[in-house]
Amino acid sequence: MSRIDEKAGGWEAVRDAEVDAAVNAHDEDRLRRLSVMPGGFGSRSARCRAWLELLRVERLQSTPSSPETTRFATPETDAETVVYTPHQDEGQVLLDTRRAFVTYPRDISSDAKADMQEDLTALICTVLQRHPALSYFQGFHDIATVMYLTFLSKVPRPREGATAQDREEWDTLVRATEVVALSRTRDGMGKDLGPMMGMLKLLRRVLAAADPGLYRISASISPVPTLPFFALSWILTLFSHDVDTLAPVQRIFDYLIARNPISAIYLAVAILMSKKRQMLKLAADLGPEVRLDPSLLHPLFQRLPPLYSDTPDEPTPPPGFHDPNAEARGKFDEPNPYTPIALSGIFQLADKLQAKHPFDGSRVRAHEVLGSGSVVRTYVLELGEQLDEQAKVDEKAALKAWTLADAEACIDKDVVLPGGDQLDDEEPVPWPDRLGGLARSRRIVTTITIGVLLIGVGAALYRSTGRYRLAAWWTTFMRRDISWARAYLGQYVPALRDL
Amino acid sequence: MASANRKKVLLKVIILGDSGVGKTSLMNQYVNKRFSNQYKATIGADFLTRELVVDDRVVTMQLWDTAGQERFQSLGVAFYRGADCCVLVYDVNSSKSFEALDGWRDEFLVQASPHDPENFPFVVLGNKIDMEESKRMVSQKRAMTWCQAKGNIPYFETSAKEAINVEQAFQTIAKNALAQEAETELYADYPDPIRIDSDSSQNYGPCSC
Repeated sequence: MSRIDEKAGGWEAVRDAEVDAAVNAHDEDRLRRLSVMPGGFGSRSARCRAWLELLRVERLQSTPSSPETTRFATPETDAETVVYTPHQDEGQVLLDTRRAFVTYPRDISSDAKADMQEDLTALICTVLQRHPALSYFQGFHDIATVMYLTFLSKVPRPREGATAQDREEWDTLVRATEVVALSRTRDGMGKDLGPMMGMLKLLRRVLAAADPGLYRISASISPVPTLPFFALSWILTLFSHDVDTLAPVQRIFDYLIARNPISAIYLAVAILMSKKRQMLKLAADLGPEVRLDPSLLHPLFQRLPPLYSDTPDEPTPPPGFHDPNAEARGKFDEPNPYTPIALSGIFQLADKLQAKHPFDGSRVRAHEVLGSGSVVRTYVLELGEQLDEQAKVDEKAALKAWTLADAEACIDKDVVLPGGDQLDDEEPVPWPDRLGGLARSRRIVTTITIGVLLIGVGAALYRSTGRYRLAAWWTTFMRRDISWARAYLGQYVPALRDL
Repeated sequence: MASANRKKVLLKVIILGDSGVGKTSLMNQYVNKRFSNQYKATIGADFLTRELVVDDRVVTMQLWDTAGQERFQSLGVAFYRGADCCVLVYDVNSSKSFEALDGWRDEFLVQASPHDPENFPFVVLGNKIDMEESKRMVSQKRAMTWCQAKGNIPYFETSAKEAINVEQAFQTIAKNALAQEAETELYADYPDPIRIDSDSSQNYGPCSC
């Protein structure tokens, strides 16, 4: 059994106090602000309290609104006395938990790992049995892994001689995981992944609005115009499937749990934009084959850079943090080609993106895609706030407190609107098609290169004669959204690459 | 177009089959010569590439690994299109995974919509033959009967763990994929007026300035 230790750093004690003050005041706004700061919610125990508050666990489980809710067993009644029918997806759960705890925690014995896998199976199956309408998806076990390693102070849980505290921690873990399933990942736990296709469609629109150049490249990497599937596991598993160490994924959970579930797509776009520069260099290194087959870029899009969980004491990765050959490898044992990126900066960017391109705004238009049963819509109802027009009309509904039973009733009910899961956007999908585009794009690249060089020479001449206007324009031009083109052109004119 | 393409041949291969039959392990054994019983479950799709020589030609094989859970199947179209060969994997110790092959094959043909579905190359791999004989649920005869009924699909019994038959199986996969690729080139050689001029006026780069 290994204790999950808590470091008592100076900043951490301060942060814990801030988190506790916000939790006691039920101040979600303050928690949201803390979630983006270096260090996030601080120590393990403060993080648990913050997550419980932000998941609204007490509120959702303690306010029965219909007789149905008696099914949601309380800690007293539940303690292994209620017998549930096995859930139909338990076989799949077992196949996945057998392959859990692969990259972390490190240095655990194979016996301990086996026990932890058994714990994880019990956790997931308990949630599914309590809510048989939920379907399990591969990757939910990755989410449950993060919950398990966060809420328990020692893992695996004791096989015998469990103390009252052990039992309480386990019970809290189960209840929190239940809420994650029903309030946060419910859209992916219906009969199919249609609603997640809707989310990918929205992600595509956010990317198109935020970074048209990157959007164009992303749209070219599959043989047919399609949704950005490379980001599916990110948003479906709240990034837990793709992050190879615990600390950064806990920070990502800090960020996401503090926000509307739609925030995952903004975070995805922020990550793409943050790694773009590196990605385009790596893409250029792949050589001309990429233009024959742009799908070669798929792994570069899909692979997350090492995400660094920065703290106030260590805002940047310490020397030697990223050794691509030493650290946890990806699925195919391939070293991560990216250099680390600190999380706080990514979170700030994600918040900016969401403020600039709100999900019901003219660019993202979630109202065309998501129905009233989506977690994105019901998130605001959990607080009992009268935010919905429909709810205003139906006073009774507005007054009724939202519970997990209400959440469960939303499974497969008006989650994604008809056609919302289809790719039907007018956004153009250009860039070289497999063969024909090659010669064309070469010609165009040559033309642009010559043009750019001419402008550059002109700018230099103007500058040397004291006329700054063109030089200033040139600088602005280069700073705008064409950095992908710079990297692309960089293959031909290396000096451009590092502009 | 075809002659330009002679220089480099890229074969796209899709690997399908139920969850846990060993798709990722087979690929990793073939490409990286490694086995681990600790591969994470696959979500979505990802690929590995390996260069090899087939009939005196250097080809690059792009092997697409996919998720086994049924709910991920519908994502197929994005990845299956343009495939040159489809590998169907099952676990010889699981009847269920064998019985699912029909579904995987049909789904592939619907989503990839190859020009000539009747003759599209499939290869079937019965994996995990390293397990003890008493656990075996699908006999070689049963598997071969199915393969014959589906148009003589080549069949291999493999062990990703012990590297049994993996190299041979993928060599056949490459060979059949290459034959299919040649076929596809024939189609690609037909002049296609829409393709040539459709977007020559399209902006590729700094159009947003």
